[in-house]
Amino acid sequence: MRGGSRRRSILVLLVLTSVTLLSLDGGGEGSGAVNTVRRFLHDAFAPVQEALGNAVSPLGDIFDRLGGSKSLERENGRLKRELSEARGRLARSQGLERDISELRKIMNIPFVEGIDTITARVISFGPGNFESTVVLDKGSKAGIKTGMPVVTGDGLVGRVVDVSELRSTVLLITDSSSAVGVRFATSGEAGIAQGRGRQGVLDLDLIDSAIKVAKGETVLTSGLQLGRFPPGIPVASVTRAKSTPGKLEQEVEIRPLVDTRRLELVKVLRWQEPSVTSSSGSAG
Amino acid sequence: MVSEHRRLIAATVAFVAVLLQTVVMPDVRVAGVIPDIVLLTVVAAAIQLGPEGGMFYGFGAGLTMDFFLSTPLGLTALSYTVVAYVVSAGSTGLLRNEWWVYPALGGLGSMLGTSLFVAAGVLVGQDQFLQARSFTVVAMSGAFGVPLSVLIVPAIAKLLPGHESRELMA
Repeated sequence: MRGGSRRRSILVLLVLTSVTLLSLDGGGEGSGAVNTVRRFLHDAFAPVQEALGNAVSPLGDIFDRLGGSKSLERENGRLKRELSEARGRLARSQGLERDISELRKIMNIPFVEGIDTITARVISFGPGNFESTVVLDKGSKAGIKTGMPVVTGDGLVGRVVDVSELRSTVLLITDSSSAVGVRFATSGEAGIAQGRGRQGVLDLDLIDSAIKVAKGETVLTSGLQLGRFPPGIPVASVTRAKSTPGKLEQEVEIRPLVDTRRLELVKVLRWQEPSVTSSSGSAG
Repeated sequence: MVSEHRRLIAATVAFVAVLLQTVVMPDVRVAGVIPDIVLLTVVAAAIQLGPEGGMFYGFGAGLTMDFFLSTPLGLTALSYTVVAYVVSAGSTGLLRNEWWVYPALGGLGSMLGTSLFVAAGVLVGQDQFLQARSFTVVAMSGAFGVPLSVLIVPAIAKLLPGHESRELMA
């Protein structure tokens, strides 16, 4: 019986500690101490994560190739190893070619003219099921700050929500807590592009039902006052629009121009919102 | 009680699981859902270490994961702690050499952990959890838990031999 009581006490103690941490962290925005520990851990884990990432990617290839083979003789094995190495070299060179092509694409992005940029590589996707984030291989050491917008040659990717010395975390525009102030490229009608999680589409809210919305029309960042993004960055194109009689707003669905599942090189804009407030989930 | 040696092994297991979860698992998605192997190690630790060791393991592993998520700190620690307690209590007296025990505990533990995470998240204002997709994530977590527990639970059982024999001896 004493054991059962002790277990319940430990459970209560740990639950209370978790609840205290939850209140200290203030809904994920992080207090000073929490953020300091978070950033320290990100930087401490960074080299190990990088080494593991490099180690497991060729392992995946090896498992793929071994999957189909039954019994391997020595000579056969040697030849396969050579072939595997050659394939590895080919894959590396193809990867380099892809990088060059990506770099060319993001070198001259017309919609960020006049804004200083930092080129960074996406090294991993967020590990959680309830967030759409990516981790960049650069952090505050490279000049990245919380709130900075992130783009590719195709358009808006998201904004930086957390920065450690060596890494930064970007909240993608598809995340359900992301909201971007946008306007239609042709009519100029303004609305809010709201993420839906990992579904790859966004809802465009606050669009008057009297406005004619054409499928395929592009929406851009509005840059309205207190906006989180500079104006004119392409965000998405309309995939569906539906007006219901009696409703003031119409249902508009838009698809991001950037394929957020296949991000490699991105540009972080050295641009900060006019008012220094940092809360995820507010419109920009 | 858990010896220093076992604590060290448990901490190493948690560290490796968090590394794999943050580096490898985001690329292993099915229907957009990432399998939570850290949660499965919590289920395994609860079986092997008993309620106390399991809860401390769950809290520590959950808190470490929290630092890599953008959700509030303590949310994963809270859900993993409760999962460890429930799994450990629920598995007491089960015939563990039955083939279905580990997959069942893995599946149910994963579903419970994800459900608790969502429920606690909603309570602390994570409104993005209030969507139909959360049900998909909970269901998929359970589905991942069944086959993965067949690998993870026996592996951890080897690293952290069971507590029941010691309890019987005590």
